[in-house]
Amino acid sequence: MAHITINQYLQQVYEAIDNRDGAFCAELLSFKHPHVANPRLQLSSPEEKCQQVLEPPYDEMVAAHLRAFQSHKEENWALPLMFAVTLDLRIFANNAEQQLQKKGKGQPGEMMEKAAEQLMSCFRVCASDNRAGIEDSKKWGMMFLSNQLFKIYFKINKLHLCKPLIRAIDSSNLKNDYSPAQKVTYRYYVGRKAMFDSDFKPAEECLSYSFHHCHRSSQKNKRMILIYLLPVKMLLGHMPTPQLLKKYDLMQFSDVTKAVSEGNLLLLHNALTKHETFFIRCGIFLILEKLKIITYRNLFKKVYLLLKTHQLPLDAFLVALNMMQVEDVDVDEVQCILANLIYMGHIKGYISHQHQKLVVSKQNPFPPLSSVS
Amino acid sequence: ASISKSQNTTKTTQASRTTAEVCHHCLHRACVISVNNVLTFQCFLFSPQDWPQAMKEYVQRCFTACETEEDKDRTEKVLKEVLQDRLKDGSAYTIDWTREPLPDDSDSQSDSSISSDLRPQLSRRSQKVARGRGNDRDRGRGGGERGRGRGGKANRGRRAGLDFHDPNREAKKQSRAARFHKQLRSEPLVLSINALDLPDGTQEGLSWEDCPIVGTCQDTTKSYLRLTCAPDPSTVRPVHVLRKSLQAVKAHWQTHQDYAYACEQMKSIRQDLTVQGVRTDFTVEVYECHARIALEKGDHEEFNQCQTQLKALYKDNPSENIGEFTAYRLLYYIFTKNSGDLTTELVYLTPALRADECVAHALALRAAWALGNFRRFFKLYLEAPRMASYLIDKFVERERKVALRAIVKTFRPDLPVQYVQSTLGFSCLDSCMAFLTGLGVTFTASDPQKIDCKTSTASLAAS
Repeated sequence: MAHITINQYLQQVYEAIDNRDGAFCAELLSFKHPHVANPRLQLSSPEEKCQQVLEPPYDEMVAAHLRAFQSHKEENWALPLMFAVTLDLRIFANNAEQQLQKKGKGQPGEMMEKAAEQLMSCFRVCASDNRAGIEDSKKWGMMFLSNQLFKIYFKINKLHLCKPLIRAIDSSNLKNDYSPAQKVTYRYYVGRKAMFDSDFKPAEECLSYSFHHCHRSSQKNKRMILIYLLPVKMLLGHMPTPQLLKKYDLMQFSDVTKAVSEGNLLLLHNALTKHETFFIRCGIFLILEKLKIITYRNLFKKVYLLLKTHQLPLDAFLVALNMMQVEDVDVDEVQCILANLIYMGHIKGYISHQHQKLVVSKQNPFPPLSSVS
Repeated sequence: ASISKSQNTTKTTQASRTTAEVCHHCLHRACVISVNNVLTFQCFLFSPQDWPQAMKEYVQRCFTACETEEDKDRTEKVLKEVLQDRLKDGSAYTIDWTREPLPDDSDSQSDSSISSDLRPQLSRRSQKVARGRGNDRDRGRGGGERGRGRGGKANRGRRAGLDFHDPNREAKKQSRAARFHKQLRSEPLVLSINALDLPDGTQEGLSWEDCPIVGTCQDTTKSYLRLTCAPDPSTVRPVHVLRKSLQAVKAHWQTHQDYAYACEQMKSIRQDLTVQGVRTDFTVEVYECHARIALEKGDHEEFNQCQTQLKALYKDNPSENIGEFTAYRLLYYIFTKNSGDLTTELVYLTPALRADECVAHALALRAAWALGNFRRFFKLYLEAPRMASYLIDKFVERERKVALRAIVKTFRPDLPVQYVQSTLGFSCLDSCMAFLTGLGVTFTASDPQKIDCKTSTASLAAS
């Protein structure tokens, strides 16, 4: 590969096209393939040569190493080709962004958005392929492209653009038949989007699927999925075991877990502060913050269990908070916290302002977390 | 919406798939749908073409001869090329379609009604089609990365260098030679990427905005006009004049409070700075000033524009107000409920910035807001530093409504108005009452200063 001439290279591309060998053609057009290191292929104006050997649009395509494959109205054997090219496009856009940022030019996200537009038009071609034969359908390209687009949208913070993609795939009859790798990636992003929209139950389903179907050898990917799955599960009342955290090198979560189960606000505050940078960079800090509410709920439940009455003086909660070294809290704020817990369904009861008491239901006043939200 | 629409029409199309029609516009069979038993074409990619009747009948015959769906797909592919060519060169109207062979028959080369230059094309294509079908038996689900292993392997052996065993080699060579006689491109291919030097001498990617000029205008005030090309230097004020301009605008705003005027003047100062490529402390000063004026007026859009520019400017020209404006940015994201950008902003907060009075306040407010701690939220609202309260004003009403809903639902049986007033940060009882009655809150019969929580819950839900 490293020593062939331009003619030999073009010959190989030509044959790959002629034999409909999409997979090999993709390699020949991918920047990850060794042929890119071949100096004999680096011509400043390859157009003429390409034009001699290949038919349009392959001449242009190969000359530019970057073009959509619109001419294939009836087939889909070039899909692997498209995958390689679009992947490279996204990576290039990313690099271009970084370079621009260093120079202080251009709006952030500009390159990525342009790349996204290109990918979106590929997606439309695939989605609107109404061929009778499923084997030839370009619909097989939809999930890969969605995944690429998700990556871009998450990077440039335009998550609302994921919605039409998710809708398109959901309504497709192929949705369960894509490769496992693609499905895992797809569910990962759909799960993260659901998290972002505070739809925790669907988020848990998607991320759990992703985690369990992720290949055993991809420890890094499994860890990434877990980073998002853990907060969601915790919000639904399921704490991870220390063994799980150790296995995936996620000990940052261990103090958080402990604090939440014990209703220990101080420990939670410290744990979140200690690993704040890590949590913020992963984009889960805001979700973990919501665990504070769960922690209040657990703490107050303990108060209820201790006092063994369903008419609880507000003062008792204040005492509990002070014991947890939460400073700067007054009775008014306690009422506020309780009002929120009731409003969200974590406590069944009401507050009597006149008697300064929380009156809870005699039956199941603290419903299990998984049944709420 | 468009995706699901095509899904729906797919179903309709597939229901009427027995039709032997091809869309008259794009020649794509899937475009044809039957609406109330009338055939309609759902694509309008090309201008409608007048098909000669004989050609339409030819198309009908072609499809009627098809036995399977695959046949139809193949036929459509071939027809498309042929029909488009014929329509383009006008022969569609002159040839005798009744003697035109059906695509399947094209292997027999004896039919003289096909013009000779079209023949190699047709046979080559149907050859390609036939071959393709046969070879790719093991393709299975083509799309995924796994495709690499399947269709590829069968053909791997063939691509090693020059292949001496390919029976089709001669045919391919000939068709390639034939291609030189028929240029598929009318002009030589020229790529348009990386062409920094365009034929007319200008450089792509650079606009007039990238070439700073030096202004000479001495007028202090200047009205604002959007620029569409490089301005005349005599209309642009140099920095030392702009300093005076800024002072003048500030003074005018203070005495007259004429926002339209102030905004226009500020915009023209900003423009003069931009075209001269000035990005200094003074530029920062200008944007900070405009931002503050916009805040005072409540123009959050203009404010956001300025604030965005400031973010970029601060990289090279941090001012002592960087904390103040970072805080405003955080508050703005709370206003727009933009948790994505909020998270990004948090990533870039240095410890020094966090310690800044304004930033610390904004962060505390954000935390209270995120957890629904309205007590703390409104306490902080009343303690807002500098001009933060102008920004928080933008979403105070919204947060008060949310808080009231929770309060009214969770307190029983009644609640003093005074509690709501102090918890929701109202400066006086009257404004609190106005807020409550505006939302339909009801009061107890025995004491009009007490909210009847149960009935109020219903009225609030309705509002």
